[in-house]
Amino acid sequence: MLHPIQPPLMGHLKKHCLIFIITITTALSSAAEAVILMESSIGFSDTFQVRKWTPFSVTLENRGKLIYGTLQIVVRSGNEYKKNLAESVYQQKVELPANSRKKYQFTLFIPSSVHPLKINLLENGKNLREETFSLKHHFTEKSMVLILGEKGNSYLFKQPADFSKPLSVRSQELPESWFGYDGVDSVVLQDSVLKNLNKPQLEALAQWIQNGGFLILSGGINYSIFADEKIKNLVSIEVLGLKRVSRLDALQEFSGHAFESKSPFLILETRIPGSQPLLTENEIPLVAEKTSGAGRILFLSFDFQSSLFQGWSGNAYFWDWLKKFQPPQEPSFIKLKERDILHALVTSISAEFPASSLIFLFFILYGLAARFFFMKIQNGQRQNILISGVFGSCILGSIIYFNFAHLNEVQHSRFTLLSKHGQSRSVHAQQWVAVYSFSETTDYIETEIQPFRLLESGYSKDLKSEPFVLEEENQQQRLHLPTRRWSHQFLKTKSSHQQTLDALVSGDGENLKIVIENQTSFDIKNGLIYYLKRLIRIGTIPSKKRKIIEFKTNQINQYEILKADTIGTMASALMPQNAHGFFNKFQRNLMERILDSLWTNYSPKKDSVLLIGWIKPDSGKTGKEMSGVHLDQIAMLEWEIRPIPSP
Amino acid sequence: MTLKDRQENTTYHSGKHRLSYRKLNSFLECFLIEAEPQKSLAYLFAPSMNASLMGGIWILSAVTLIFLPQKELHTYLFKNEAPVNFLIVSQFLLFGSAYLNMICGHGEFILEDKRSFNKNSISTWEESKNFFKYGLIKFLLHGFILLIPFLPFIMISAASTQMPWNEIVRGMTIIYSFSLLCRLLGFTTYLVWGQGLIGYYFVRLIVLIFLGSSFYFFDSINPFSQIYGLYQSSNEPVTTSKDSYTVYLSFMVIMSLLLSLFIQLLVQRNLPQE
Repeated sequence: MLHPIQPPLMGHLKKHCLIFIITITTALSSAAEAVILMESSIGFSDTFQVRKWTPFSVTLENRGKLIYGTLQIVVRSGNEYKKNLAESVYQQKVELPANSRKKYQFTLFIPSSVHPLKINLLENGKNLREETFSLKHHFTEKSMVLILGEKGNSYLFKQPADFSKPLSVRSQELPESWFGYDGVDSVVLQDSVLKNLNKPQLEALAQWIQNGGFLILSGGINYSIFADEKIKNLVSIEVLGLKRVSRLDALQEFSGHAFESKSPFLILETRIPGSQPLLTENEIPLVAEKTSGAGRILFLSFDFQSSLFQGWSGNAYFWDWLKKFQPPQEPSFIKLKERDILHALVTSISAEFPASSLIFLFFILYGLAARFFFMKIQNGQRQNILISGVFGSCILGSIIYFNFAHLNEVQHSRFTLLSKHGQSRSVHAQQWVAVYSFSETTDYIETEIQPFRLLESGYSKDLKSEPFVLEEENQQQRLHLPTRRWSHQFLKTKSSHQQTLDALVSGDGENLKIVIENQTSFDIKNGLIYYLKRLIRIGTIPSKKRKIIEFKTNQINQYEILKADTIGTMASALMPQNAHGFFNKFQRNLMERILDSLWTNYSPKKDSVLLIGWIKPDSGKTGKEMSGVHLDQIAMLEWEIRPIPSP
Repeated sequence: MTLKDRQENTTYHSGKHRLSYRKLNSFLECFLIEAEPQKSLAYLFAPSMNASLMGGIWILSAVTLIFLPQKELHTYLFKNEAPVNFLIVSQFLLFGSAYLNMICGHGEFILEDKRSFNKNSISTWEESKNFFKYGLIKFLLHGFILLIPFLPFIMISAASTQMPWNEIVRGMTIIYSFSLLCRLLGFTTYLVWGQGLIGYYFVRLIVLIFLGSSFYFFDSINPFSQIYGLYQSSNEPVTTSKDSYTVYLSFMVIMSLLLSLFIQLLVQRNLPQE
């Protein structure tokens, strides 16, 4: 006879079953988490500069099934006490086959080192893996000098007053986007490292130089790399031969005595098209300078990492001397305050409210029509067509008016500051985009990869804002910008362009002649010349045309001198107060600040003139926008034209 | 002349649209134009009605003009604030339309001598016909028509505030549904107490109690809160705004149906037994 199981035994059995189920579930979930491994690194040798764009890489190892997902890096900024916390999300689509390992590169703008980065791997909305990356021990306030060579650490800048941080870096750490070098002062590269760089890295390096970067390239016994086609895109160097020397007199000025060596010291004999020799030894350039866009490349004809050179006593002074050739970091001459630019962008918006006088007149008309309509109805004259028509038309008219007065949900205003130095074809561009929204929506901007970042505007209310998402795919970038009703946000980016603008300034002491050749497709309007603290109006320089400005230097006094107390009146004289349209309103709103910055920040030189002009770009040339988004654009050109000495 | 007689004596137009014109004409005469306006609960073209509408037009004109945005558009964008124009105008319209419909339903626009307070006498078509076949349809139509003269103010204030079409429609639905409810409340009170003082004060009190209690305890069903919710979403996203609108609309529909059923029961007592 079977006895039923006793209740206490039953209880124990249930308890053990439950424990077993919990253990198995935990093990399974742990196992699921352990499927993906994540490794991250930031900047250069794990160092980055705050408030700059910095490379960040995530290596994912998938030990499970195929994953199609999204890798997100969340960057936080702001302060909980000030209630201005904001998030920017950088994301890329990932495809990880089973048992694979892949590295994903990002370029992030990190405003502060306080908040850690959050790294999420998502698939179908589910978070497969989440990690945080602390920034506290990785940041520096100094700009960085990257040194790449076969040997390890080599401290080149020994002066204590130096404001940069030298870092020995591996070739894999060089970024694949040009603005990843944002926190980098200069790059010192040994020729042997070039073969380790892939095509995107070389392109990014070349573009960074074009945009104002500074590369110091050294040649040694591995000079065959310069024949490689992909290196020729960076810099074209023809090696004519190799020389062994035991003495370099040209280096005497750095140490007080010539560089002497008991063992032979190798130098390359090179020819670099478009370069200028800075230091020569027996007509062989030891240091050659080549301008590339807004940037510069210095080529050293010897291996800077050779023990002979490293042991030389004038080493530190030599490197300090090289730094003098660094291109100017601040591209702008006038140095307008960002706050003034943003203020001008918003106050120049072309959208306006309907005129209250017109509305008043309309209401009078409507009220009278309604009055007569009701009177006729009461008198039994319901079929009075005229009155009914007027009354009905007013109602219908208001609906039609609404459709016309209704603006696009999202509007953009864009200001580009173009800075051009002398005869350089390259123009440095800084761009500010204001996004205005009248409804709660998400604005999308598609462009080629550019360093777009959301500015922390001091004008917005302390509301918790939705994250700004930057998605990269196939060399294109898509910005997701959530907006609220009646809100504004500002974005900033920078780049460089090639512009066919040429100018000659010549003078013989009595006469000054300026010839400006505008081969661009834009007119340069409301041109101003700033010379010897005087502003001279030159009008419009039409597209594909040349403009000649001549005047006698002794007649310069007829033009008003720019002083602190005359800025207001001069600004009013230059731009009328009743300007209409975004293009004119923006000039009017910013003119006083331009003159103020000109007076404060720019030191006029006797042998150069500063040209300021305005350009109305065509829509869509600077990026693809969502259709239906209204776009106002304006660009300002500031060009320091340096003279060529007259024969 | 009865309504039926009038329909039969209607002048016809020639041509193939004779039947549809006849139907339209009879429809208009049945619900809007009305052969015996003194038997209408709220005759649309009564002098007092017209005066009320004219008064509403002048008031809303003044309100719209006073609350037109005074500052430049960019000032509002700078501060992430929307102009209050649409909010104020729609709140005024909500109040006015609800009150007008309430007194329409309460029979305060009946053309006959108001001193006849005998609630047992049947004086209007709405009391003597099947409510779902006549009264409710008339209330729905009248409520819609009474909003039409105020459309220009809504459109102009919405243009200033850059309201999208869907939010304007939402606002008008909020106003319309509450106005209909007030009209039904008014008519219920009229059926119970006639045009006496009890009914007069009762209907006003009940609407006030509803507005006050819903504002404090459950603002999803408060029409003024709903209108405010349209404005509020411009500054701080009200994540439940769409849900609360659904709740509001559902409540209005349910209450309107319940009141209509109650009215039908009351009216049915007066209908001749077949």
